[in-house]
Amino acid sequence: MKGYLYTLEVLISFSVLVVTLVSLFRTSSQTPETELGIIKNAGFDALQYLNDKGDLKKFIAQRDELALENSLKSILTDFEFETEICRTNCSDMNVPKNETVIVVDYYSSGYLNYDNEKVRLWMWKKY
Amino acid sequence: MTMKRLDYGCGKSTKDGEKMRKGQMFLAGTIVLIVGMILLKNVIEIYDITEEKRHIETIIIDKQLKNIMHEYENIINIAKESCQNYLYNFSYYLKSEMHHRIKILYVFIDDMNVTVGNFLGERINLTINNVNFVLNDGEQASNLFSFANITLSYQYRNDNITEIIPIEPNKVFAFFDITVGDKSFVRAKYLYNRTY
Repeated sequence: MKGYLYTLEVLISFSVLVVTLVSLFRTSSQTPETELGIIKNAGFDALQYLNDKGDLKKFIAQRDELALENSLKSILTDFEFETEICRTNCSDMNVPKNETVIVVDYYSSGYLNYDNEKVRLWMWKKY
Repeated sequence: MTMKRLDYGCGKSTKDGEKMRKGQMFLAGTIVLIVGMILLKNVIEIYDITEEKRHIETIIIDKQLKNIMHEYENIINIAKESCQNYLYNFSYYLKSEMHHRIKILYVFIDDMNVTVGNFLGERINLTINNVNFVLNDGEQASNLFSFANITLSYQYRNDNITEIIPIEPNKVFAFFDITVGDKSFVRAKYLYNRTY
């Protein structure tokens, strides 16, 4: 009888161990720290894509923020964003103050003529 | 006088209690193992997060570097003249934007006229075909050479760097040594040329 009790106890212990092990290591957690990096990466990729297409430099040369934002809308579907074409002081007037905002800077040296400018892209999560 | 053994009824039952305790050691051991696993999981998670964060940071820095490299190439492609000034202006602009997060050295060769710009954040000693230059951070210098190749040597931090740039007629050449980042950084040394 005691032998059975020991066996039962070992089985219970082993089961508890297995259940704990599976529940602990089943999912990999995604932290906010890595999430911010992933969002920034997505922003950079979107601007890079527009540049490779040859559109970004045109938008910058024409200072056409509306066209730039319309192009980005179809790429950055999961995020809210705001852009600014600027050289040094970029106005963040339309950027929300109560959100975690990720900033991406993409530099440009001109379209047909030399002109150093940058596109500043602010991104935050869409709820 | 006879000694009476006091028996509080612990004889057989004590033996049973020991066995019970021995038996409960499995459960106690399991609890210790579970606590250990939870601690281990936290340690692994912290390591994973740090590694993943560093990996993503490096990817972003690499993309920034490629953006900058591409724009330098763009300057050489669009500049009909004053390319040296544009290279200087763009480097100055990047330095004022990114501060210590960017370090640039460029050498631009156009018809044997060699221009060197130093934005490495420190004074460097540079030799081009045995001619010595001392360039402060943010300075640019030019000189005319009459050799078929340009041999460039400079010391940056503890590295002695030597580059041989072959010169061909009807072409402009530009050598770049660019580092982006701070603790995690990406560095690229490359040669770009364009036919007139």
